[in-house]
Amino acid sequence: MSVHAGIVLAAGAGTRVGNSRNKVYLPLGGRRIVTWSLELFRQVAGIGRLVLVVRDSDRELVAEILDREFPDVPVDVVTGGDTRHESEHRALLHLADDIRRGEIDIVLVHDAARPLTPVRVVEEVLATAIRTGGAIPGLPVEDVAGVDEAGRISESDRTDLIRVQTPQAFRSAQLLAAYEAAAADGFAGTDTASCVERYQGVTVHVVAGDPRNLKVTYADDLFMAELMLAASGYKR
Amino acid sequence: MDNVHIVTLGCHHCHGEHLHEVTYAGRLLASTLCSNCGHRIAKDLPGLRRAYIADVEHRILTKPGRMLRRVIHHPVSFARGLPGALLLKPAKMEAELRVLSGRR
Repeated sequence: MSVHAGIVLAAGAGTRVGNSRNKVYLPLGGRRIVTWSLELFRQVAGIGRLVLVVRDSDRELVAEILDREFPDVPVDVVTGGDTRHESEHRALLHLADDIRRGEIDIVLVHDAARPLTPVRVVEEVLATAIRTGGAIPGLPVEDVAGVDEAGRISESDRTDLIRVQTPQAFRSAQLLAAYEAAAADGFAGTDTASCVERYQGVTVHVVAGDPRNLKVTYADDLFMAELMLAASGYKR
Repeated sequence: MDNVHIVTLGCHHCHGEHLHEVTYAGRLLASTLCSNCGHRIAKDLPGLRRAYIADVEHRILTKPGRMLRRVIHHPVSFARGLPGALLLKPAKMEAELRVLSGRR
């Protein structure tokens, strides 16, 4: 019987100054940010495999965190690469044998820095990927306007723009094939969907994202995230 | 968990990503400080103190359960770590109270 796999990316391809810690290991409401992200996948029926992609230098810390905050749930810890794309590829290579044996149906890829994603979003992304092959959550972008060459506001309709969130979900065999083809080509996509679209021709469907699915990027985001967690009684 | 963490975060004040000092009072976020421009975001102290007291009550109530879980799952590491944890507790509490008094 096949299961779905959730990959949480915590290797941190973004800027990291000096020897500072990755922000996903910051405490938030009594648990680390990364633990909340793993917990999200644990709560979705059908996700039976968890992969956490980390930097090699964070492995010891991660083992300690998982032991303390996420006991009894098996998590495969994989060392990531220098880019998001490379980290995704390494996680897929880790799952490759199981994917080829047909033991993994859908793979969901999630940013560890999005600890508050509502379970509803994951369930909808997963259900849509099962039905269509690929799905991502997105929010309409309402505060943008087009500008023409003369610097005037353009009349063009901007309703086609969305702000892409994670998790992004795809059929595992197609996802693996896409990343293998990309590796052969030397292509590095900006997100999971761009690679699958390019190499497998999968039409990626957009499901409704959620404003609470914030990505901790700025210092202010930490306060907002804590406030939202407190409002939910520190429960997902 | 330590009560001060150094991480790279974006700063809305000076823009760009810079080292930030993130300070906690127990499990609660207390403040962030941008190392580049000195921009500080902090909870107001009376509100933080109220939230801290409620959180400490919750920590005390849930402590036996959390300790029991660790005893069951990792009896050896629990036994090994207990003396050190007890010795460090006063220093941890003192650091938390320093944050609550606004001295950190």
